[in-house]
Amino acid sequence: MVAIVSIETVVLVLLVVLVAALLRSHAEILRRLGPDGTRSEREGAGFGPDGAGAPRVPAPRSGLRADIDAPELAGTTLAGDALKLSLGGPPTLLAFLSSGCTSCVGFWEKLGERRPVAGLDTVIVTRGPEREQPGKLRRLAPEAVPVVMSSGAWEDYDVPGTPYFVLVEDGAIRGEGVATTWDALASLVGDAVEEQRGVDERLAAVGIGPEHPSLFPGGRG
Amino acid sequence: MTVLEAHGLRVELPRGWSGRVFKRDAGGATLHAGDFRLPLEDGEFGDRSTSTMPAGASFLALTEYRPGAGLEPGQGLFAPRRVPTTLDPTALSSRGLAHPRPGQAGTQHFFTVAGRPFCLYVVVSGPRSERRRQLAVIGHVLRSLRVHPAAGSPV
Repeated sequence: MVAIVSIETVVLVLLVVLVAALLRSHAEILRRLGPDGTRSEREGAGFGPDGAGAPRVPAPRSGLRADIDAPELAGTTLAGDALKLSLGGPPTLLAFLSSGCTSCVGFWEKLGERRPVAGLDTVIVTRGPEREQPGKLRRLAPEAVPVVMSSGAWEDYDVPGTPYFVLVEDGAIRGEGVATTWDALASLVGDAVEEQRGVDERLAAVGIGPEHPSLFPGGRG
Repeated sequence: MTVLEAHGLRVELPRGWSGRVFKRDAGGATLHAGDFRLPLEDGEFGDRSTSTMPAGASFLALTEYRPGAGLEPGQGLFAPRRVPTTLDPTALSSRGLAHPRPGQAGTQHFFTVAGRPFCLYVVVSGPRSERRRQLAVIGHVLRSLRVHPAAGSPV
Protein backbone atom coordinates (compact mmCIF):
# COMPACT_ATOMS: atom_id res chain seq x y z
CA MET A 1 0.00 0.00 0.00
CA VAL A 2 2.80 2.36 0.95
CA ALA A 3 4.55 1.51 -2.33
CA ILE A 4 1.47 2.38 -4.39
CA VAL A 5 1.04 5.73 -2.62
CA SER A 6 4.73 6.51 -3.16
CA ILE A 7 4.52 5.70 -6.88
CA GLU A 8 1.37 7.84 -7.24
CA THR A 9 3.13 10.73 -5.46
CA VAL A 10 6.14 10.52 -7.78
CA VAL A 11 3.86 10.41 -10.87
CA LEU A 12 1.94 13.43 -9.58
CA VAL A 13 5.12 15.42 -9.03
CA LEU A 14 6.33 14.54 -12.55
CA LEU A 15 3.01 15.65 -14.02
CA VAL A 16 3.19 18.98 -12.17
CA VAL A 17 6.74 19.55 -13.48
CA LEU A 18 5.62 18.67 -17.04
CA VAL A 19 2.64 21.07 -16.93
CA ALA A 20 4.84 23.86 -15.55
CA ALA A 21 7.34 23.34 -18.39
CA LEU A 22 4.56 23.40 -20.98
CA LEU A 23 3.12 26.63 -19.54
CA ARG A 24 6.56 28.25 -19.58
CA SER A 25 7.16 27.19 -23.19
CA HIS A 26 3.73 28.51 -24.20
CA ALA A 27 4.43 31.84 -22.48
CA GLU A 28 7.74 32.14 -24.37
CA ILE A 29 5.99 31.53 -27.71
CA LEU A 30 3.35 34.15 -26.89
CA ARG A 31 6.06 36.62 -25.90
CA ARG A 32 7.84 36.15 -29.22
CA LEU A 33 4.64 36.51 -31.24
CA GLY A 34 3.44 39.38 -29.11
CA PRO A 35 2.15 42.79 -30.27
CA ASP A 36 4.30 45.79 -31.36
CA GLY A 37 5.00 46.74 -27.78
CA THR A 38 7.30 43.77 -27.37
CA ARG A 39 9.10 44.17 -30.71
CA SER A 40 11.97 46.29 -29.52
CA GLU A 41 12.57 43.86 -26.73
CA ARG A 42 12.73 41.05 -29.27
CA GLU A 43 15.14 42.96 -31.46
CA GLY A 44 17.32 43.69 -28.48
CA ALA A 45 17.34 40.01 -27.69
CA GLY A 46 18.57 39.19 -31.17
CA PHE A 47 15.38 38.45 -33.08
CA GLY A 48 15.60 41.46 -35.38
CA PRO A 49 17.51 41.64 -38.66
CA ASP A 50 20.76 41.39 -36.73
CA GLY A 51 19.80 38.20 -34.98
CA ALA A 52 21.26 35.57 -37.26
CA GLY A 53 19.27 32.42 -37.74
CA ALA A 54 16.35 33.17 -35.46
CA PRO A 55 12.98 33.10 -37.24
CA ARG A 56 11.11 36.35 -36.95
CA VAL A 57 7.38 36.45 -37.44
CA PRO A 58 5.99 39.95 -38.00
CA ALA A 59 3.28 41.00 -35.63
CA PRO A 60 -0.04 41.45 -37.43
CA ARG A 61 -0.97 45.02 -38.32
CA SER A 62 -4.25 46.27 -36.92
CA GLY A 63 -5.43 47.56 -40.30
CA LEU A 64 -3.83 47.38 -43.74
CA ARG A 65 -3.40 50.57 -45.69
CA ALA A 66 -4.58 50.83 -49.27
CA ASP A 67 -4.58 53.62 -51.83
CA ILE A 68 -2.68 56.06 -49.68
CA ASP A 69 0.34 58.01 -50.91
CA ALA A 70 3.47 55.90 -50.97
CA PRO A 71 6.32 57.48 -49.00
CA GLU A 72 9.35 58.36 -51.09
CA LEU A 73 12.07 55.75 -51.11
CA ALA A 74 15.72 56.77 -50.90
CA GLY A 75 18.81 54.97 -49.70
CA THR A 76 22.11 53.51 -50.74
CA THR A 77 22.88 50.60 -53.03
CA LEU A 78 25.22 47.75 -52.22
CA ALA A 79 27.85 49.48 -54.40
CA GLY A 80 27.71 52.58 -52.19
CA ASP A 81 25.72 54.66 -54.68
CA ALA A 82 22.87 56.92 -53.53
CA LEU A 83 19.42 56.32 -55.00
CA LYS A 84 15.99 57.91 -54.85
CA LEU A 85 13.22 56.01 -56.59
CA SER A 86 10.14 57.46 -58.17
CA LEU A 87 7.20 55.22 -57.37
CA GLY A 88 4.86 56.81 -59.89
CA GLY A 89 3.80 54.79 -62.93
CA PRO A 90 3.61 51.02 -63.27
CA PRO A 91 3.25 48.67 -60.28
CA THR A 92 6.39 48.08 -58.22
CA LEU A 93 6.80 45.47 -55.51
CA LEU A 94 8.85 46.57 -52.52
CA ALA A 95 10.22 43.50 -50.75
CA PHE A 96 11.41 44.34 -47.24
CA LEU A 97 13.93 41.62 -46.42
CA SER A 98 16.79 41.17 -44.01
CA SER A 99 19.90 39.03 -44.04
CA GLY A 100 19.22 37.44 -40.67
CA CYS A 101 15.65 36.20 -41.11
CA THR A 102 15.23 32.56 -42.04
CA SER A 103 11.86 33.20 -43.70
CA CYS A 104 13.60 35.61 -46.10
CA VAL A 105 16.08 33.08 -47.48
CA GLY A 106 13.67 31.69 -50.09
CA PHE A 107 12.74 35.19 -51.28
CA TRP A 108 16.36 36.26 -51.78
CA GLU A 109 16.74 33.27 -54.09
CA LYS A 110 13.39 33.25 -55.87
CA LEU A 111 13.11 36.98 -56.57
CA GLY A 112 16.21 36.60 -58.73
CA GLU A 113 14.58 33.87 -60.76
CA ARG A 114 10.99 34.99 -61.20
CA ARG A 115 8.31 37.53 -60.33
CA PRO A 116 5.11 36.90 -58.38
CA VAL A 117 3.29 38.55 -61.30
CA ALA A 118 4.88 38.60 -64.77
CA GLY A 119 6.73 41.82 -65.61
CA LEU A 120 6.35 43.32 -62.15
CA ASP A 121 9.20 45.68 -61.21
CA THR A 122 10.69 44.58 -57.91
CA VAL A 123 12.99 46.34 -55.47
CA ILE A 124 14.42 44.73 -52.34
CA VAL A 125 14.61 47.13 -49.39
CA THR A 126 16.83 46.31 -46.43
CA ARG A 127 17.69 48.31 -43.36
CA GLY A 128 20.56 50.75 -43.68
CA PRO A 129 24.29 50.07 -43.26
CA GLU A 130 24.00 50.70 -39.50
CA ARG A 131 21.88 47.53 -39.22
CA GLU A 132 22.97 45.41 -42.17
CA GLN A 133 26.38 44.45 -43.58
CA PRO A 134 26.64 45.26 -47.30
CA GLY A 135 29.08 42.37 -47.79
CA LYS A 136 26.58 39.88 -46.38
CA LEU A 137 23.79 41.36 -48.51
CA ARG A 138 25.96 41.18 -51.65
CA ARG A 139 26.20 37.43 -51.20
CA LEU A 140 22.41 37.17 -50.93
CA ALA A 141 21.30 39.76 -53.50
CA PRO A 142 20.09 38.47 -56.84
CA GLU A 143 21.73 40.18 -59.82
CA ALA A 144 18.49 41.08 -61.54
CA VAL A 145 16.85 42.86 -58.60
CA PRO A 146 17.99 46.22 -57.24
CA VAL A 147 18.66 46.40 -53.51
CA VAL A 148 18.20 49.66 -51.60
CA MET A 149 19.47 49.97 -48.03
CA SER A 150 17.26 52.40 -46.12
CA SER A 151 16.24 52.27 -42.47
CA GLY A 152 14.20 55.41 -43.17
CA ALA A 153 12.05 53.50 -45.65
CA TRP A 154 11.34 50.86 -42.99
CA GLU A 155 10.10 53.58 -40.68
CA ASP A 156 8.16 55.43 -43.39
CA TYR A 157 6.41 52.22 -44.50
CA ASP A 158 5.94 51.11 -40.89
CA VAL A 159 7.37 47.67 -41.59
CA PRO A 160 6.47 45.35 -38.70
CA GLY A 161 9.10 42.71 -39.54
CA THR A 162 10.44 40.56 -42.31
CA PRO A 163 9.56 39.37 -44.84
CA TYR A 164 7.08 42.16 -45.65
CA PHE A 165 5.81 43.28 -49.05
CA VAL A 166 4.23 46.49 -50.34
CA LEU A 167 2.76 46.94 -53.81
CA VAL A 168 2.97 50.51 -55.10
CA GLU A 169 1.42 51.93 -58.27
CA ASP A 170 1.04 55.51 -59.50
CA GLY A 171 2.59 56.75 -56.27
CA ALA A 172 0.01 55.02 -54.03
CA ILE A 173 0.12 51.89 -51.88
CA ARG A 174 -2.18 49.31 -53.51
CA GLY A 175 -1.63 46.55 -50.99
CA GLU A 176 0.75 45.23 -48.40
CA GLY A 177 1.24 42.34 -46.06
CA VAL A 178 3.25 39.48 -44.69
CA ALA A 179 4.08 36.47 -46.82
CA THR A 180 6.31 33.68 -45.61
CA THR A 181 6.11 31.50 -48.73
CA TRP A 182 6.36 32.21 -52.46
CA ASP A 183 2.78 31.03 -53.02
CA ALA A 184 1.52 33.39 -50.31
CA LEU A 185 3.37 36.29 -51.95
CA ALA A 186 2.03 35.43 -55.41
CA SER A 187 -1.48 35.31 -53.97
CA LEU A 188 -1.03 38.61 -52.10
CA VAL A 189 0.28 40.44 -55.16
CA GLY A 190 -2.14 38.76 -57.54
CA ASP A 191 -5.10 39.80 -55.39
CA ALA A 192 -3.90 43.42 -55.22
CA VAL A 193 -3.32 43.61 -58.98
CA GLU A 194 -6.68 41.99 -59.73
CA GLU A 195 -8.45 44.32 -57.33
CA GLN A 196 -6.92 47.37 -59.01
CA ARG A 197 -7.79 45.98 -62.44
CA GLY A 198 -11.38 45.52 -61.24
CA VAL A 199 -11.53 49.17 -60.13
CA ASP A 200 -10.20 50.30 -63.53
CA GLU A 201 -12.72 48.14 -65.36
CA ARG A 202 -15.64 49.40 -63.26
CA LEU A 203 -14.60 53.01 -63.91
CA ALA A 204 -14.20 52.29 -67.63
CA ALA A 205 -17.70 50.76 -67.70
CA VAL A 206 -19.17 54.09 -66.63
CA GLY A 207 -17.01 56.04 -69.07
CA ILE A 208 -14.23 57.18 -66.73
CA GLY A 209 -10.82 56.60 -68.23
CA PRO A 210 -7.31 57.58 -67.08
CA GLU A 211 -7.65 61.14 -68.45
CA HIS A 212 -11.21 61.80 -67.26
CA PRO A 213 -11.56 65.31 -65.69
CA SER A 214 -13.29 63.88 -62.59
CA LEU A 215 -9.99 62.24 -61.63
CA PHE A 216 -8.33 65.65 -61.39
CA PRO A 217 -10.60 67.73 -59.17
CA GLY A 218 -7.93 70.38 -58.70
CA GLY A 219 -7.19 70.55 -62.41
CA ARG A 220 -4.10 69.12 -64.06
CA GLY A 221 -1.11 70.90 -62.70
CA MET B 1 13.13 67.25 -50.07
CA THR B 2 15.24 64.13 -50.13
CA VAL B 3 19.01 64.29 -49.83
CA LEU B 4 21.17 62.12 -52.07
CA GLU B 5 24.81 61.89 -51.06
CA ALA B 6 27.59 59.67 -52.38
CA HIS B 7 31.03 59.86 -53.99
CA GLY B 8 31.58 63.44 -52.83
CA LEU B 9 28.34 64.82 -54.28
CA ARG B 10 25.34 65.97 -52.26
CA VAL B 11 22.06 67.18 -53.73
CA GLU B 12 18.49 67.76 -52.56
CA LEU B 13 15.70 66.46 -54.77
CA PRO B 14 12.12 67.78 -54.64
CA ARG B 15 9.19 65.44 -54.02
CA GLY B 16 8.31 63.49 -57.15
CA TRP B 17 11.87 63.55 -58.46
CA SER B 18 14.01 60.46 -58.71
CA GLY B 19 17.77 60.32 -58.94
CA ARG B 20 20.99 58.56 -58.24
CA VAL B 21 24.64 59.27 -57.58
CA PHE B 22 26.81 56.49 -58.93
CA LYS B 23 30.36 55.74 -59.92
CA ARG B 24 31.79 53.06 -62.14
CA ASP B 25 35.06 51.31 -61.35
CA ALA B 26 37.41 53.46 -63.41
CA GLY B 27 35.21 56.53 -63.79
CA GLY B 28 34.25 59.64 -61.87
CA ALA B 29 31.04 60.31 -60.02
CA THR B 30 27.78 60.90 -61.90
CA LEU B 31 24.51 62.41 -60.71
CA HIS B 32 21.26 61.77 -62.56
CA ALA B 33 18.03 63.49 -61.55
CA GLY B 34 14.65 63.92 -63.18
CA ASP B 35 11.02 64.62 -62.40
CA PHE B 36 9.99 61.24 -63.83
CA ARG B 37 10.76 57.60 -63.17
CA LEU B 38 14.39 57.01 -64.06
CA PRO B 39 15.51 53.54 -65.17
CA LEU B 40 17.65 51.82 -62.58
CA GLU B 41 20.58 51.31 -64.97
CA ASP B 42 21.85 53.90 -67.40
CA GLY B 43 24.91 55.42 -69.04
CA GLU B 44 26.60 58.60 -67.84
CA PHE B 45 24.59 60.84 -70.15
CA GLY B 46 21.26 59.17 -69.45
CA ASP B 47 20.54 57.57 -72.80
CA ARG B 48 17.90 55.27 -71.31
CA SER B 49 16.46 57.94 -69.03
CA THR B 50 15.99 60.47 -71.82
CA SER B 51 14.45 57.80 -74.03
CA THR B 52 11.64 57.36 -71.48
CA MET B 53 11.03 61.07 -70.72
CA PRO B 54 7.36 62.03 -70.85
CA ALA B 55 6.34 65.38 -72.38
CA GLY B 56 7.05 68.28 -70.04
CA ALA B 57 9.72 66.38 -68.12
CA SER B 58 13.17 67.55 -67.01
CA PHE B 59 16.42 65.62 -66.67
CA LEU B 60 19.94 66.51 -65.64
CA ALA B 61 23.19 64.57 -65.63
CA LEU B 62 26.29 65.81 -63.90
CA THR B 63 29.27 63.67 -64.76
CA GLU B 64 32.85 63.96 -63.58
CA TYR B 65 35.80 63.68 -65.92
CA ARG B 66 39.16 62.16 -65.04
CA PRO B 67 42.09 64.56 -65.39
CA GLY B 68 44.87 63.48 -67.72
CA ALA B 69 45.48 63.06 -71.44
CA GLY B 70 45.37 66.84 -71.88
CA LEU B 71 42.40 67.41 -69.56
CA GLU B 72 43.41 69.74 -66.72
CA PRO B 73 40.89 70.84 -64.06
CA GLY B 74 40.17 74.56 -64.26
CA GLN B 75 41.76 74.91 -67.69
CA GLY B 76 40.41 75.25 -71.22
CA LEU B 77 36.91 73.84 -71.60
CA PHE B 78 36.77 73.28 -67.84
CA ALA B 79 37.91 76.81 -66.89
CA PRO B 80 34.59 78.02 -65.32
CA ARG B 81 34.71 77.65 -61.52
CA ARG B 82 31.01 77.59 -60.65
CA VAL B 83 28.07 75.25 -61.09
CA PRO B 84 25.77 76.95 -63.62
CA THR B 85 22.51 77.39 -61.73
CA THR B 86 20.80 79.99 -63.92
CA LEU B 87 20.27 78.36 -67.27
CA ASP B 88 19.29 80.29 -70.38
CA PRO B 89 16.19 78.86 -72.15
CA THR B 90 17.50 80.11 -75.50
CA ALA B 91 20.59 77.91 -75.06
CA LEU B 92 18.41 74.78 -75.28
CA SER B 93 18.41 73.17 -78.70
CA SER B 94 18.33 69.80 -80.39
CA ARG B 95 22.01 70.31 -81.22
CA GLY B 96 22.77 70.22 -77.49
CA LEU B 97 21.46 66.67 -77.16
CA ALA B 98 23.84 63.75 -76.77
CA HIS B 99 21.04 61.53 -78.09
CA PRO B 100 18.76 63.61 -80.38
CA ARG B 101 15.06 62.85 -80.03
CA PRO B 102 11.94 64.63 -81.30
CA GLY B 103 10.42 67.05 -78.79
CA GLN B 104 13.58 67.27 -76.69
CA ALA B 105 16.12 70.05 -76.29
CA GLY B 106 19.35 70.09 -74.35
CA THR B 107 22.40 72.02 -73.30
CA GLN B 108 25.83 71.20 -71.92
CA HIS B 109 28.15 73.16 -69.62
CA PHE B 110 31.69 72.31 -68.57
CA PHE B 111 33.25 73.59 -65.35
CA THR B 112 35.51 72.70 -62.41
CA VAL B 113 34.39 72.70 -58.76
CA ALA B 114 36.46 71.55 -55.75
CA GLY B 115 39.21 70.58 -58.17
CA ARG B 116 36.91 68.19 -60.01
CA PRO B 117 36.06 68.73 -63.70
CA PHE B 118 32.40 68.18 -64.60
CA CYS B 119 29.96 68.31 -67.49
CA LEU B 120 26.39 69.34 -66.72
CA TYR B 121 23.96 67.98 -69.29
CA VAL B 122 20.34 69.18 -69.16
CA VAL B 123 17.45 67.81 -71.23
CA VAL B 124 13.86 69.05 -71.28
CA SER B 125 10.92 67.74 -73.27
CA GLY B 126 7.60 69.25 -74.29
CA PRO B 127 6.52 72.66 -75.52
CA ARG B 128 8.91 75.61 -75.69
CA SER B 129 6.57 77.62 -73.42
CA GLU B 130 7.35 75.25 -70.54
CA ARG B 131 11.11 75.65 -70.69
CA ARG B 132 11.50 78.64 -68.39
CA ARG B 133 9.57 76.82 -65.64
CA GLN B 134 11.52 73.60 -66.21
CA LEU B 135 14.85 75.40 -66.01
CA ALA B 136 13.78 77.21 -62.85
CA VAL B 137 13.20 73.88 -61.09
CA ILE B 138 16.47 72.46 -62.43
CA GLY B 139 18.24 75.59 -61.17
CA HIS B 140 16.69 75.04 -57.76
CA VAL B 141 18.07 71.49 -57.68
CA LEU B 142 21.51 72.66 -58.85
CA ARG B 143 21.68 75.33 -56.15
CA SER B 144 21.41 72.56 -53.55
CA LEU B 145 24.40 70.75 -55.06
CA ARG B 146 27.53 70.45 -52.92
CA VAL B 147 30.77 69.05 -54.31
CA HIS B 148 33.51 67.80 -52.01
CA PRO B 149 37.11 67.50 -53.15
CA ALA B 150 37.95 64.03 -54.38
CA ALA B 151 40.51 62.15 -52.31
CA GLY B 152 43.98 63.21 -53.43
CA SER B 153 42.73 65.77 -55.93
CA PRO B 154 43.97 69.37 -55.97
CA VAL B 155 41.40 71.94 -54.81
